[in-house]
This record gives sequence, structure tokens and C-alpha cells, in this order.
Amino acid sequence: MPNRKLTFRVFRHNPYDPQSAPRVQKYEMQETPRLTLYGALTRIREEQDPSLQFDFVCRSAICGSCAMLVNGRPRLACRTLIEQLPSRINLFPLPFFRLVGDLSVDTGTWFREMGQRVESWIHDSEPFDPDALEERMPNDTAQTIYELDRCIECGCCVAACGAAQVNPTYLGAVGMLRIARFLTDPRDDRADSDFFEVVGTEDGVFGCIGLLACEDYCPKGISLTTQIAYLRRKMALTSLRSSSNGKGASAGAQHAEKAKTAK
Amino acid sequence: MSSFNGKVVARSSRRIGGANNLAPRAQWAALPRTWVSLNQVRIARATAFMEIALTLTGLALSLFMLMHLGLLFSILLGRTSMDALARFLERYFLLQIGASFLVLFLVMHVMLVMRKVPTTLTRQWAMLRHMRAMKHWDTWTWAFQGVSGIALLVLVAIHIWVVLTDLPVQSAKSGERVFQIYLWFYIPLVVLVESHLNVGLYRAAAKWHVLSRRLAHPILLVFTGMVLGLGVAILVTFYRVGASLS
Repeated sequence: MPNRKLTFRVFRHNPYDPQSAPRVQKYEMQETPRLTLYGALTRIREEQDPSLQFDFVCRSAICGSCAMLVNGRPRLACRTLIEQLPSRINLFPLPFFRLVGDLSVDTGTWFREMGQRVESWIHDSEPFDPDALEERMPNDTAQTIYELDRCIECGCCVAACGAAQVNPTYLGAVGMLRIARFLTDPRDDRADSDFFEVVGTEDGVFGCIGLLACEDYCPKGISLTTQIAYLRRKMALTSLRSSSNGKGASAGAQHAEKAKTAK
Repeated sequence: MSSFNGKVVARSSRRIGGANNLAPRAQWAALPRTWVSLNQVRIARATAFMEIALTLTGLALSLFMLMHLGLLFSILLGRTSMDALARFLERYFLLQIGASFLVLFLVMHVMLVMRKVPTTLTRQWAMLRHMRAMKHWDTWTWAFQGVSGIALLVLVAIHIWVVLTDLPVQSAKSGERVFQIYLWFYIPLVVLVESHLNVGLYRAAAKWHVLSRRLAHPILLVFTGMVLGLGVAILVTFYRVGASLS
């Protein structure tokens, strides 16, 4: 197996160069044991073509920079073993995000905008007291929040999502994961009804067409479909409640309930 | 005025005014946390209702189909039992009532599902390219639901028309119909209905997380096998009834 001759067909294009046209370039190399895709790309850049652009930082599936389409499927180059792939490997940049060049895309701008859209920070009305002891939280809640915070923002879930391919304003599984994270957090004052306008739309949880690929291609194995289903149930319930009492459940009452459940 | 989510929006003053006399935490709770137009809230609420209604109409149609299959099961017990059951249903106009509800739920289900289907050629092309590249099982089940849904719309409409314009329902008439040219109509109808129903139930269970996918896969396989087996057995029995009469 490690003696195969590998053929890489890599997407090449520099959108900042007016002379550049999108094309596919072929590279060949001999397979070596325990070679990762990141290793292979580094070898191509060092030995064959120093102009090849691709992103990497940590090389251990923590930074999420090296996500790309490997034979049509989103993966992290650093945790993809070549021995698990066929000898012909097609590499394309992640769709949906702005192309920087070749296999490099700008996920940061989209993630920042998404963070602003879902107001991805703790909303607390109490003035911050740096000398006060931190409010205690049950271990189970802390563990749940930690689990939801494991996302490395690589963009694989968005690239794997069919709804995102046809709706550029779609929030994506990662946006919904972020909302689920703040809904779970007892320190956040926002209630279900506060999130409803952001996530209870066709750009949010009701735009999801249930292809379940986000979870299947998440390199960190986060249960994204479970979180989307959790939000879908919560938002559906919020819409029913708000129509039954005319204005929606009081945010304060919901927060009190959330804090009580957490304690 | 401010902007939220790319739209110019107005902040509701009603809630802000009421919040001024409250304690700080309650004041925060009473403030609108997001900047949205009233229309956006209405659309969000309507979208939520549509999502619930899509699952509910799908469930209603599945229950109808299972009931239909249960009633047709009587042909396996003999022609007399099916004819007696058909007479009972027609005496109380239950057939016509059932068909009316079926058409109503069918139309509702199609209209609700339409908003989930890419409508422009560019989007359809993007979706097709995505599906072909990904080779992902659950992405293909979604496409199967779309294609089988369109085919079923035509097949079910023909079936309802043929049956309701040839009342009363009798095992002999049904048998003759299946024995003749309609066999090649009923084979795809039975296969598509049962597959669409089972895949739909599986997808709804996964979407609302009623069942984990690990559990849903074997249940889907067993249930599809049972329902398809029953459908084929009923079709074979009708064919034999038709053959014995001609």
C-alpha cells in the first residue's frame, strides 16, 4: 500500500491576478508510510511547486485552517491519512467561502459575521465585578457547554451542507451550534424568544433540509444534527407559545426557569 | 432605525417604555435583544408553523397509507372479507371522506415541501453537483424524496381517479385491473409509496431527533421490508384473483 504512485489533481487559481484562470494541475509523487495529506501538500510545495497555496497552522486538527474538499468531501488535510484515500486524489478549496488562492479560503470573515449575527457573546445585565467570585455552575452544564465549544470553525459542516450551497445567507450548522451553546449557558440572559428571530427563520433552523452531512463530515465529531434538532424543537415550541399568548413567553420568566434548571 | 441581518429595521418602543420602571435584571429581560422588523417576526413564526405542518401532514399521510394497507390486508383473508369491508366503508361514505382528506393533506404536503426545494436552474445545478461530489447517503435520500414525490403526485392522482370513478370497490374489479395493464402501474406505485413513506418517517425522526440515526437505520430497514412485503403480497393476491376470473 505505501508504495503507490499518487496522482494529485489540484485546483489552481489566484483571484487577485487578472491573468489567472481557474484550472486543475496535476502532481505526482511516491507514497510513503503514515503520510498525511498535509504532509503530501508540503512535499509538493517544497519539491515541485513553491507557488501552491494552502493553509495550515497547528497540524493537529485544532486550528481548522487546512479544511479542503478531498475527492469532493470536506476534510482536514492534517488528519487525513493518504493510505485511506485512492491513489488519484482531487483537491479543491472549500465552497461557500471566499477564495484566497488555490486551496486557501477565507473562513474568518464569514465566521466573524456569523458571530456578530448570532451575537456570540454572553449577554448579562449585571455590571461586571472583577473582584467577585465567579458564579458557580453544575458540572453537567459546564461539560455540555465545553462539548459545544469544541468546534474549531474549520467550515467543513458548511461546505458539506446542501442548504448552504443554495442559500448564501444560511446560518449553517456551526451558527446553530453557537446559539445552542449560549442557550445552554445559565450566565446568558437571553431567552428562547430572543433567539427566535435570528434562528427560527429559513436562514436558520427552518432552512435546514435535514441532509445530516454536517455531522457526518465534522472532523471533531460534534453531534451537530442533535443540536439542530434541539433548536428546531425549541423554536417550534417558542412559535406555538408566542401565538397562544399573543406576545411570546416573557424573556425574564424563561431566563429564571433556565437558571433554576441549571441550579 | 438600525440594520440587522442586512435589513433596515425599527426597534419596538412599546417594550422599552414599559421596561424603565423595572429592576435592572428585569429591565434587561424586557429589552428586545435583537433588532428586527415586525415582518421578519411574522415570517419567522409562519416558517415555524410550516415546518411543524410539513412533518404533521407527512405523518398524517403515512398513517393513511398504513391504514390503506391494513384495509387491503383483507384480500389476503379472502375475497368475501374484502368485499364486506368495502361495502361497510361505502355505506357510511368513508371512502369518499378518506379520499377527500387524502387529497387535502397531499396538496398541503406538496405546497409545504416546495419551499425546501431549489427552484432556479442555477440552484438545482449547484445542488446536483454537490450531491454527486459528496456521495453522501442521507443527501441522496433527500433527492430520492423529491423525485419519488413528483412521481407519486402523478401516480396517486391516477389511482384516486381510477378507483373513485369505478365505484363500488370490489375485489373482482380490483383483481381484473391488476391482472390487466395496470399491473405495470401498480408495481412502481407500491414500491414508491412505501419507500417514500419509510424514508420520510426516518428523515422526520432524524430531523426532530425522535430517534438516533444508529437506531433509526435498522428500524427503517425492517419496517420497509415488512411494508413492501405486505404490498407485494397484496398485489400478487389481486393478480391471482384477476387471473382466476379471466
